[in-house]
Amino acid sequence: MVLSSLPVLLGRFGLWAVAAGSLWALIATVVSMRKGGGWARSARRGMVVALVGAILAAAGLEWALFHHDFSLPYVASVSAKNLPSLYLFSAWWGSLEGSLLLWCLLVLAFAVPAQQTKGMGEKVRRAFPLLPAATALFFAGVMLRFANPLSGWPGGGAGPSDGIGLNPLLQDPGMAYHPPLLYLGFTGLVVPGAWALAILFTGEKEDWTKPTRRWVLAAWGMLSAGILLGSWWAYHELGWGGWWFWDPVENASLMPWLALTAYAHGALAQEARGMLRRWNLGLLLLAYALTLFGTFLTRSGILTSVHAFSESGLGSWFLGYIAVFLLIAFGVLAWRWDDLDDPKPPGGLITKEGAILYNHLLFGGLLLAVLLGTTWPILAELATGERVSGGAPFFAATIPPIALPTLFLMAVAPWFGWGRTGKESLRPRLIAGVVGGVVVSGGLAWARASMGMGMGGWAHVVSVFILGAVLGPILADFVRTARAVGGSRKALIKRPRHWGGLLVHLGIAVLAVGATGASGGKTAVDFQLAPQETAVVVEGVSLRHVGVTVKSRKSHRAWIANVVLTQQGKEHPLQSERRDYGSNWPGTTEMALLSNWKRDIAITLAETESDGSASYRVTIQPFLSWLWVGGALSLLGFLWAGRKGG
Amino acid sequence: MNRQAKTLLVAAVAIGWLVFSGIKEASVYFKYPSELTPTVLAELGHEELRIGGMVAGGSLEREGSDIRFVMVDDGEGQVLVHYVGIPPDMFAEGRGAVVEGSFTMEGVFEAHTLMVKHGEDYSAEEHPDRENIRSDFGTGIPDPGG
Repeated sequence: MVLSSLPVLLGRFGLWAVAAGSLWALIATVVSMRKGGGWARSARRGMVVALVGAILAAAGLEWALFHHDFSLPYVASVSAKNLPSLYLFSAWWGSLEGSLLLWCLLVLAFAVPAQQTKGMGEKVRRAFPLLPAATALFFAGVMLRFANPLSGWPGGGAGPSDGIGLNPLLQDPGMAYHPPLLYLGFTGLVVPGAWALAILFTGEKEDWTKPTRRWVLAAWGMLSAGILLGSWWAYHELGWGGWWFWDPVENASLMPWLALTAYAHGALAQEARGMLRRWNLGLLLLAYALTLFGTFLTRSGILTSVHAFSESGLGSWFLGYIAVFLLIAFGVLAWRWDDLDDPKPPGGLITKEGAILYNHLLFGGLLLAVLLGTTWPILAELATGERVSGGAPFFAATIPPIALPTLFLMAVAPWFGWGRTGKESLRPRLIAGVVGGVVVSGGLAWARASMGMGMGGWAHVVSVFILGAVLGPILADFVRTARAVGGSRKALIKRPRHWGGLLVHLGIAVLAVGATGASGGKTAVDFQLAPQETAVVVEGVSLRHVGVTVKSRKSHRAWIANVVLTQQGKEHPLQSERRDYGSNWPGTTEMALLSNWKRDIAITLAETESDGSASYRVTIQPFLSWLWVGGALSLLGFLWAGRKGG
Repeated sequence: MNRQAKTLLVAAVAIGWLVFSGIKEASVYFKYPSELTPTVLAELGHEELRIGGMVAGGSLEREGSDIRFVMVDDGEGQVLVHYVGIPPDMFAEGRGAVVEGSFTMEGVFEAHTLMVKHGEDYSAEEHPDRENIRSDFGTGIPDPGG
């Protein structure tokens, strides 16, 4: 029996404090909704106790990671003595147990200050802790019962002399930031979800959209950043030219994003016209449930087999919690249904509120497609006993027909009016859109022709036109506003929500051009080349294999292939690597990348032979870098929209 | 029902139809090697199929981008797989893999897609086998896209 050190003991105690504090907060909140006053203060104290407990647990875990306390199986499984400090720190969320702790801590860290949000009534404020307290209690319960990052070895051994280390694929700065960003987005959703539930429970009529706007923007922005960073990491680190795989882990982050995006537009209609309250409440609650559902899908083993799931208690807890939440949340929504009626009937299709209804429909369709595509193997096995897999072909067939109308709506709907749309205001915008579409289509067609690339598929052609149609009216509007305010920069950027929102739209349009261009025009060719041998990849692009050198580095051995990539007559010397991390981990690749605004060329080293030859895969994807540019523009738009005065 | 509601309903039905008809077309069977008994094989014929299992130790042969290996699982039964292309990172003997393709006349599974299986083996009851790949977050292991 090994005695654990004080920080670890404090951390274990902290986990119990999370459970006790959040349980107390939950009970006191329920009582306070009837009795008020002192109970509400007591509930608040419970939340603070839980937060302090979570901080203690996280500190204990980090202490153990930095002191290589391998008497904790978690520490032994995600870290090793030779791991650099950054990855020792990020090993916190290197696996399930620690991720749960991070999640729990973030929920509490958001919820405690968020309860003070200005502009919410006293009764609603009192009911606010219901959802965050329940969430923290659930996570604490799961950790204490199934996945405690601070528990010792069964029987209490001192553990191995060194840990297994962090998966080499995860030893990358992008991988250090990507999960916390996603978790920030997921857990940030607890706050608007908590207000939604509080409003439903109290039956108050107040409008929550304005006070919670910046919370929603923050969660939405961080979720978007997390998804983008994950994609960027997959492209650069996995090294196989892919940037989105429709993997359940990715879909799990996309689903709440889709629900939240629908909500963010619905909230506009609610704020301007008092409409869509039911939809909006439902979407917020759904978005919250989807963050947990994603975790359930990817962690319970249910995707492998329904039977594996039934043996894992963790999965049943997640499913049970989600089911109870949905029953209660949508039960109360149904109960309040008649109180939440829309005061105004929706206008026609050519109005803002009409377009937002279609926005909800299309985002609902995208969500349904992702949800069904991800859970189909489970549903089919439950229904027929046969395992099937859906996967990429399904998404390739169903997503574009729903996404392209969504993009089209995005180009035109911002110029509609509430209630009615004046022809005189719409016509110049439509003209600017068509002109923009023609100009951008022409420009990109020229760029394609100059590189000898084909048209890239109908989805790409449509996306390119839509980009122009989004850009044209924005530029026209900007010039018009600039003239009207006489060049005063302050007056020009006075409407952060207007310009921020348009910038997000523009970024999405750019991203769509990148996504459809890269997937529609992807070419992948495999070569085996002797030293100094040259191969033609496509017209205008050739690859010369120079030779291979072997290097021993701190954590791995690397086979470094030197190549010369020639594009349009210009030579680019590049290096592509394979790495061997020893027997604990399989090898990884570091691709060579030549990227410009027209296309990305990635060279992956597959294998090296003793005679000095090497085999490569060369992947060419048109307009791929537009993904990252578009993503960055959107994130800037989120920041802009979050400025004061929005 | 007003016109707006009717149009919305028609659009909703169209989207629903698109999604549900798509999923039926795109699904393929998923089997483990031990399930591929002669009867099942006869039924399947040359149908598109996914097989999940482990790359048997000592079975991996590579000549350039020409790859042959045997896939096994817990039960009895094995499948000889042939794949042309570059396997993804983390592909190795003793690790999980998923292949998609169909059986040839000779009974060899001709795979056009080779993926690495990951992140699904979590079990918290006993501390899980830490040798297994545990892609606990972020993006999945890539599909080289055959």
